Amino acid sequence: MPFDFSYSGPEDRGKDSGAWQTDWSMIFRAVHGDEAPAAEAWDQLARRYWPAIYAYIRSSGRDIHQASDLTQAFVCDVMVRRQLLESADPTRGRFRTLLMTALKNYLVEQHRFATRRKRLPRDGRLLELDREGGPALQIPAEATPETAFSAQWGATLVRRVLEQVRAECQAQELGTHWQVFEARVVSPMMLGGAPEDYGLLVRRLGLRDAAQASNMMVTVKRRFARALFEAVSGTVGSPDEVDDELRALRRALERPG
Amino acid sequence: MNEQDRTQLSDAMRWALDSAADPSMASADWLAMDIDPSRRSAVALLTDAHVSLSQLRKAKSVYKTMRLVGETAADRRLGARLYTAAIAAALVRHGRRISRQSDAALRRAFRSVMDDESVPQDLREMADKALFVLDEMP
Repeated sequence: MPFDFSYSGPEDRGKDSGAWQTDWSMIFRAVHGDEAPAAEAWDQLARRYWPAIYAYIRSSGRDIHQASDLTQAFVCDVMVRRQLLESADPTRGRFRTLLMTALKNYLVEQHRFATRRKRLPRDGRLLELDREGGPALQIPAEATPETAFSAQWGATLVRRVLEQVRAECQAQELGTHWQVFEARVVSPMMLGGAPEDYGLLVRRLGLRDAAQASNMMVTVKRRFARALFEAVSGTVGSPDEVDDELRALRRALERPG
Repeated sequence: MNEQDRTQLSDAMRWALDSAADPSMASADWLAMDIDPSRRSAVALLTDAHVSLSQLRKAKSVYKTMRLVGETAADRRLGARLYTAAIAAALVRHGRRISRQSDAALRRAFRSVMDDESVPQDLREMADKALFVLDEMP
């Protein structure tokens, strides 16, 4: 069975229509674009970062309902009303860091005033953030909010890039390549379990032999690796920071505690 | 998603780093890990003293295919070198030929690996030993 990338239900599939854009270009469009494109960019950014924001808040000790409400409130209060995006500047570092710092300050403020406010974004719509099933990544209770945020953001990035590469493979008549990659890499990575046996895979897909299948898997894995590198490039201030960011996300995923 | 799954997700970050550093070698390493997940690289697989003949046959086969279908010229050149290295390893570790190529063709291939400074030193030494084994074979 093909892996379903949406972890909140089929209704979410395809909502991140900006999957091919870098975060910085999307932020620019959200701040400087015309009303409709700006609203769309804002919406995509909010969806993209929602799981990481939620993970941070959950790891700060809030229950599911509080975390869901606070995620909604942070996105509306800080990302929109306080023009967080306008203060985002690629030359001043990673957007992930800026967002995390703003979130940390916001939670301190919320705790201080012990109030919970729900605000509407500028176009008057509330995001549908209360997603069935919640985030797929289980963060250990001992994880710091910062690590939880980074781990969830890393997982979100991987999912988004997988979706992007799948679409590219299908568009470029590499559908069989994708099926091999999915059976050997994606399904074990996202769902657990062993990769499908090459003998079965070769028969199922009508391939020449296991060597051909293995090389097809590597072709897509390389595309995925390249796309992930580019996606991370779009979230940092300079090309020099990409390696560090990838290592930081890797550490967060390996040791979320 | 449990701890193991998170670790597998973290592997994706390493793939991006490895591929950016050396795309051809990263692809070769992934092919090796596909044969034996406990090996972390093509060099580790091909130079391991305990590698099985079956694994070397698989390595020969995947690198032969890489030699033909590699995305770039660098991929195809590396595939050719590793294909030869797998044949060399079978000779050195198991005293077995896993190729139908002539002795003369094998000698040329082993020498080309030995002379290629872009090939990791351990594999060049393996080719050197294979040349010796081939010379000693009846």
